[in-house]
Amino acid sequence: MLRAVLAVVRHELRLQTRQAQSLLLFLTLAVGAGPLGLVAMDRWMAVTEQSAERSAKTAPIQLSADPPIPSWLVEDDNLEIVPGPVTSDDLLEGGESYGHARIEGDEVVLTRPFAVTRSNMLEGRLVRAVRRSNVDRVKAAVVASGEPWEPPLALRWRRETRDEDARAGEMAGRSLPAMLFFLLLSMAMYAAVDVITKEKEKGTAETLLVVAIDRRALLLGKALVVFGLTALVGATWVLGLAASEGLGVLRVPNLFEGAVFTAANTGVLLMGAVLASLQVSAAALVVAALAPSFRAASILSMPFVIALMAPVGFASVPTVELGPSTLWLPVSNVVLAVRSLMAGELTAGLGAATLGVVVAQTAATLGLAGWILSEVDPFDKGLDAEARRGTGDFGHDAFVLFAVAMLGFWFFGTVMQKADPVLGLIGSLGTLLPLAALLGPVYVGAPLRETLSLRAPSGRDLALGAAMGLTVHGVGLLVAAVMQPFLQTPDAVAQGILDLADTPLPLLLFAGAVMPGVCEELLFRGALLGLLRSRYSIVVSVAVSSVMFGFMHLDLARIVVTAAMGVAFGALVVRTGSIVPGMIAHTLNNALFFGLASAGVASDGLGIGLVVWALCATIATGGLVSLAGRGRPGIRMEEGGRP
Amino acid sequence: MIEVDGLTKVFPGPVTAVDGVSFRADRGEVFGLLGANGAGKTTTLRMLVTLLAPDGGTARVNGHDVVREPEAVRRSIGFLSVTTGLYERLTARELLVSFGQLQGLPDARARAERLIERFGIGPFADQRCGRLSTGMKQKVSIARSLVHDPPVLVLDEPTVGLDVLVAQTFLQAVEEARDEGRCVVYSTHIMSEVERLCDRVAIIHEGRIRHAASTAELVAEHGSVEAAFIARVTAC
Repeated sequence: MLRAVLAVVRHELRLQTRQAQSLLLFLTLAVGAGPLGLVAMDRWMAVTEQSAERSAKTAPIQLSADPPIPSWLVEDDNLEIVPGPVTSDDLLEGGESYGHARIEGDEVVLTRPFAVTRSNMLEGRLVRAVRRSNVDRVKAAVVASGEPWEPPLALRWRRETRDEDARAGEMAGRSLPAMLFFLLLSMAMYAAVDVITKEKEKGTAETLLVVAIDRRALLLGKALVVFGLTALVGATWVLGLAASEGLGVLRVPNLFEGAVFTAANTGVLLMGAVLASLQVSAAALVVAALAPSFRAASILSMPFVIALMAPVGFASVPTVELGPSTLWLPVSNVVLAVRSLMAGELTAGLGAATLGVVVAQTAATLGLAGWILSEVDPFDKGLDAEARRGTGDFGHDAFVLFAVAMLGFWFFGTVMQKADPVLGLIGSLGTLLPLAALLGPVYVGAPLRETLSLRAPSGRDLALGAAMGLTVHGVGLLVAAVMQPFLQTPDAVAQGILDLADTPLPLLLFAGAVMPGVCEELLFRGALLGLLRSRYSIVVSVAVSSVMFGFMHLDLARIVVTAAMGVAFGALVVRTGSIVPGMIAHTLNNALFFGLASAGVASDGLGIGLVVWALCATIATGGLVSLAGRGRPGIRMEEGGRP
Repeated sequence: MIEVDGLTKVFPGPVTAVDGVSFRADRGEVFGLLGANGAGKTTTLRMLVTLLAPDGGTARVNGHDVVREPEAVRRSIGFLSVTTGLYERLTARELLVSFGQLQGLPDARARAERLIERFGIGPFADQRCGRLSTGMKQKVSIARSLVHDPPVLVLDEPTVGLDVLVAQTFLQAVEEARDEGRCVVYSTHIMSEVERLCDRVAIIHEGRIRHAASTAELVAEHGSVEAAFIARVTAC
């Protein structure tokens, strides 16, 4: 067995050294990626701070006098308030903008984040800020300060300023594992695809599999090479960072005040890189085992990268610690162990247990790869893109397009919106999404016009779009009202909405209604739904594209509501054969949201009117839907097919 | 040397690609598996060389069962098909050495040199396989399949895409292998190759063996292998 494994390792290394340029590229990346990544993070933080400064210059906010205090300001022990003018800056604290607060001396200190929901938006900012607080305590605090308790009331909050070193440490804890894992994932995927998938694609698998060698030895030998190359790149990355810091090249004032790469930390990070390499290599081999071709591997690698980066993100949350419950989470356990070790908090027992779990998980994953290799027909070209091109089946490509578009949108969109909330939103929606929607189908060879449902709508289709917009908004408000006690919008989203609130209404409507209405529809109900329909049934395609649409909004509260909206807009495209009615419905829905918010109409205040609105709009839409497809045979799409 | 009994393969669908195929092939014999595209030739041979697991029946190669002793089977066979690839990054010499080492040969380099000489690979032995012509590649391929001196050769449509001259050289190599006492299983749909090479032939159609006889018997009965093939297939 050992002889066989060594023979495979020698064979694979012989092959890898024949493409030295690729390896050199990875090693160069490994040296450069760390410092470059940190500099990028530093710029990001600088932009974030500029954004916070700009918001701080906005005018003080006064609480509305009528009604003086809403009746839903109920029990809460955490908030105490001192009088004074409120500015947006008071509501901003990095990513934790809103919070319950406690009074310390003459300062109010935020203690935990506030939730801002759709209906809060209609109430005005300050009401959002004091929502859930105890009105009696608010009143007592004001009276105790000697101020008269009568509206208009102005309240002052103070931000909690954390220790700079703690902030740098936290940033290091969040950013370094994420960057390291991304690099390791790239290398592991590259190597795994080379040693497994390309063998299948080039026909050398057939040659290799008839060699008198144990299949387990074959897999183990290949896994060792993938692991070795990945660990080499990871170790180079860590040592490159350590050397950069040692030589004084690394100067990132926004991130690190002190030395991060001490000898002890470097050792811990090296060990973490090796353990992480074990995990990602085994996982990459599973993907490579599934894929019959390089293109198929690229399709599968996107969800794979997202699936492995999610635990990295989870483990980067400051409150998550290594323990009996988190020990079992693959990837997270390595990140948490590294964090604990760097903080000097890891006990020997927990460390040994983590090591055991990581090795066991790696072995199990490798076993899975082996099982797939033995079960999956190596000559099955089902996932191969070239084979699918002829059949017009682009279902899998939709998932890749979604992953690529969203990674780009979330990253560049956030950067652009940090630079300028409104123009950033217009810019990111107006460029990234349409680019993805147009280039995606063109890249995979799908017919653009049919895929995007680019057809001029009839007057009836347009009326249907408008009615659907009214319905969706009415029902959406109802759903949001029902869900509010259970699911609330997190701070990052609330921050985004707040950033838009000072914008003049026409610009707000353009950025928040027209751009999403047109550009999001082009991607989700155009490209993604169109590509999905080339493989799946209408029901599955609309459902999947709607879930994708929900996930674009990134938080649980909005995923459900937006996915449901996606179904409505998707049905509209399927029914009318045109993307335009969906755009109208989407635009109208968003316009109502911002329009009503600007007019100060609270959803809570609509009461029974809200139910009447939702019902009437639903009935009207139902009537139009029943009429929409009539008299135009051939326009509607057939089940599972193209228009 | 090769005993196949009721071999069956069902792919998801379900599609029965091979349906109860049985045949024998002996030492010093070229056994032809003759069939049109999609007849089940490749699937049968892939089961024989342990690339695919059979869903029914048994197959023994050099006395070893393909399911229970796959490694021993692989030690006994050299396999070459139209789709078997060469590592484009390696030179012909490196490839032969590498496969010799993978097969566990203690003298892989010496064995590679002997094969290079025998198949006239010398002039291009140090060129990367990716830069070789089709004929050169096929020479390297057959040398690769013989690197561990197997008693059985399984060849799946090996001359597809080769020009006439290269194919002649290749067929000569197959004849030499037979004369050395190897058992050769040769699948093809080229009738002239069957008449030239094969001692016995099985006609396979839609996954089943429709007729098995010696080449001489087929020619005597129908005038040519082609006529025999058409008669047997159209009779199904």
